[in-house]
Amino acid sequence: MTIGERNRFRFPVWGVVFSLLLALPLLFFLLRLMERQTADFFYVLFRPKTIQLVFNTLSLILAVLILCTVLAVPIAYLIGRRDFRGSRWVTALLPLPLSIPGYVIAWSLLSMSGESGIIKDLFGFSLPSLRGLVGAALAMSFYCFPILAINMYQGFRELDPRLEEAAKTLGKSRGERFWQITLPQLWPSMLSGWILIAIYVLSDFGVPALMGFEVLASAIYTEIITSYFQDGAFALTLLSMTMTLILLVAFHTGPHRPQRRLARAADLARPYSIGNNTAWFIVFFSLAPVFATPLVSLGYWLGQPSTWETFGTYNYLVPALFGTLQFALPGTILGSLLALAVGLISRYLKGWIHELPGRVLLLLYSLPGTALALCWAVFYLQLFRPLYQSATGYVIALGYLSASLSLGPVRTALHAQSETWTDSARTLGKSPREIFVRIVWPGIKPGVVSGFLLSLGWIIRELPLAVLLTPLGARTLSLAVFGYTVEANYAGAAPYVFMQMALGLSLGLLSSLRRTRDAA
Amino acid sequence: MSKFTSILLLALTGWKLVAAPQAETSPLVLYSGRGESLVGPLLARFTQQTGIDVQVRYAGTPELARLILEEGASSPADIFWAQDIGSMGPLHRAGLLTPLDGSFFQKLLPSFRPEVATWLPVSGRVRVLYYNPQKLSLPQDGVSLKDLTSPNYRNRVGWAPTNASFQLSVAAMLQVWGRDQTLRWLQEMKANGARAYANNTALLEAIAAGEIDLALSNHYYLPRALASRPNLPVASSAFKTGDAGNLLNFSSVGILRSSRNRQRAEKLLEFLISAEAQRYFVENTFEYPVIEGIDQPRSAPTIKDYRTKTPNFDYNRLDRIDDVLAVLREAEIL
Repeated sequence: MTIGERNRFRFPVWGVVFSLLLALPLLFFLLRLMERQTADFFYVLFRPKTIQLVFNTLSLILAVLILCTVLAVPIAYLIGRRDFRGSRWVTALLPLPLSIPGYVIAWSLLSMSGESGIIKDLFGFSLPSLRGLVGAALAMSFYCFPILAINMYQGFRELDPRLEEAAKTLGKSRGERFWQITLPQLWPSMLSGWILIAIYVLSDFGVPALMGFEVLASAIYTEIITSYFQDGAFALTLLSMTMTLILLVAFHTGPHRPQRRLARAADLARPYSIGNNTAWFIVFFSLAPVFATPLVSLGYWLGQPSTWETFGTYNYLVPALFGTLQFALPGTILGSLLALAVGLISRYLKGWIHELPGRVLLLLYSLPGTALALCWAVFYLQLFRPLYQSATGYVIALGYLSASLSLGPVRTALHAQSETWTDSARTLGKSPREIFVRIVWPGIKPGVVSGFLLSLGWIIRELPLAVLLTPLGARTLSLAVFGYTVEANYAGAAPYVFMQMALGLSLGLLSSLRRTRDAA
Repeated sequence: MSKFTSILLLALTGWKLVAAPQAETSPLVLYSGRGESLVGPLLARFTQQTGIDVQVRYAGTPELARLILEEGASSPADIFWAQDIGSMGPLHRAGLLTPLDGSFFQKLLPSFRPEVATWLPVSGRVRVLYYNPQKLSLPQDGVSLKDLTSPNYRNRVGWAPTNASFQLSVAAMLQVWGRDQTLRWLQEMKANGARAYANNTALLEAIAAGEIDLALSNHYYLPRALASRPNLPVASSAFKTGDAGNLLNFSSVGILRSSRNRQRAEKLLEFLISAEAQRYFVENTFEYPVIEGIDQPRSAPTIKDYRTKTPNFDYNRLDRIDDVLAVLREAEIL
């Protein structure tokens, strides 16, 4: 690392090298795109079916945004503005639903609803089957509403109560106060939450594939399996990437939370206290369906003797568990190293180009999973053939993904570190290596570990890259859950779901506890 | 991170490298277009008996056929097991399959012997219509495919467009009806609200769940399901006599020309048409045996009856999967 050379002008080697390195699969895809301007490419791009796909994708985004808002706003208001016993715990546990992958919720909703569903068996009446838009929207919202809730929570915290009180003194009615004072302050956090959720909806492959609701991300997969990596798949990939890019630009240029000026309001904003019963009712409303859905299905299937009979004759739970860890651990370690390098570059080297590697990582993370998988597959197939569907190839792809997740905590830790120490050490003639080992590393270690845990939790349930890039005969929990659920074998999926939820929730809890501890 | 966790992580990471398979014991590689719940237990028996390890890539048949075509001579696969006979054609024509010894074919029932000697049928299945008898009754002589576009069946029919058996059925339509009629039928089905599912199992469950009332499927998923859930509200019926919907099909296997495990691959093929495996198909997957001396599955239409209902297909010309994909694309189904 070139710590200590930050003031001299020189070509921004590290920024350029890392940006290129990280953008490699994406750049290669764009390069190949040039030669894909064939009749078939444009046929797929503009045919009615594609228009239908875009329409489906947009409807799903809209449905998820509505559901997420309903789920997220009450609880965000509660923990942001009100005080009740246990509110700290609720705040700490709020991100936990993000540990249960959307396709697990899809598995659960599918197995519960319909005339042969769990609800029918337990209660004698049946819900209409949730396959389709409604089920897909529910599964996605249960998974990702915490993204909006956390954004809104911060919005509520930063509300300046003095403004509302002033308006009240001036005789504004309750409604006027809400529309003229409160909402304009909340709007930016709501909007940024919405955009993040829209990016997620665009990117998810598992939920729409299982729910039989065809959107761009799942159609790319269908294109690949029917026509291999041909022009049609390129066309849909380009389309979905463009949509993501528009959202990313909107996110970065849109209205931002008024940061510093009102940040102090958080100290002023004495949360009003609220009756414990009311508070817990709201918590229950937001969180109960999210946790109960997968747990009830899991309890039901694991309680059926027939599940274990089939499991006894044939299963691969242990290989799947080991397979998951075997890819996820090296992938996440690689990711942490990449994140560390990218973090160091942006912290210690000046100039916008050194921010670029981080941006590239963010872009990769935001892309639809199947689109990213296609980029990797094409990259490997044409440049590094042996890496295609190899353990190493999959681990590298996971490493890139994991780096984007680790980057946040690593960066925060790096920026929290004072430059006085590194500057003094340099004055004392210490080498960059020594400075890193003895000063920088001890300070940022907790941040790196947090980033590792956070991204490990995500990487163990990765699906679209696994579908296209894992080596022959590889087993992972995500592939098992997906494979059984696609065949509507909900009982068969149950043991794998259990293992995945156990892993995911323990990592999620661990992350939550660390955050609470650090905050304290 | 404690020292212990670091060591554990390293150990788990490094284990893969240490445990990497040696070349001389490299397992047999099978691309299976048939589902793991069917194939997995059978292969476990094979490994137990012969000591030959089999590594399987499970995926859709069309996807794997396409993959082999793309991989060409560098394919890691030794054997391809397709859900249908149609997928073998393109591989055969591309010269990617190796000719099999005549002894394999002598074991087959005479009427099941294919014209070319590069692939082997291993289990028989027929196309049927699943329906929910609690919600509708079918006419005595069955329905025809073309009946399904009537308003009677609006939003009630399911199909699996990415599934090889469905695609073979479209190949049969192309042969009997010609391209224009087939395209029109597909478009009318779509306009009539036919719902797409990923596979035949999902179709069956969708009828049970009340999502749809009819489905175009292979016959054997139903008896399998009924064996453990006798109250399932699903029944099956052949199509009208002579209708293009009635089609006899076989899951089939071939050895890739690029295989370096030829002898062991032949062992697997021998196993698949052995009495033991054939009985497994009959008893566990309710498919039709392809060799003599094995009883037919009890809960399936008898093959003799069924054959009187099928039109006279030229089975060796059913392998034009490219045409099928093109027509499905044009109908905006794929």
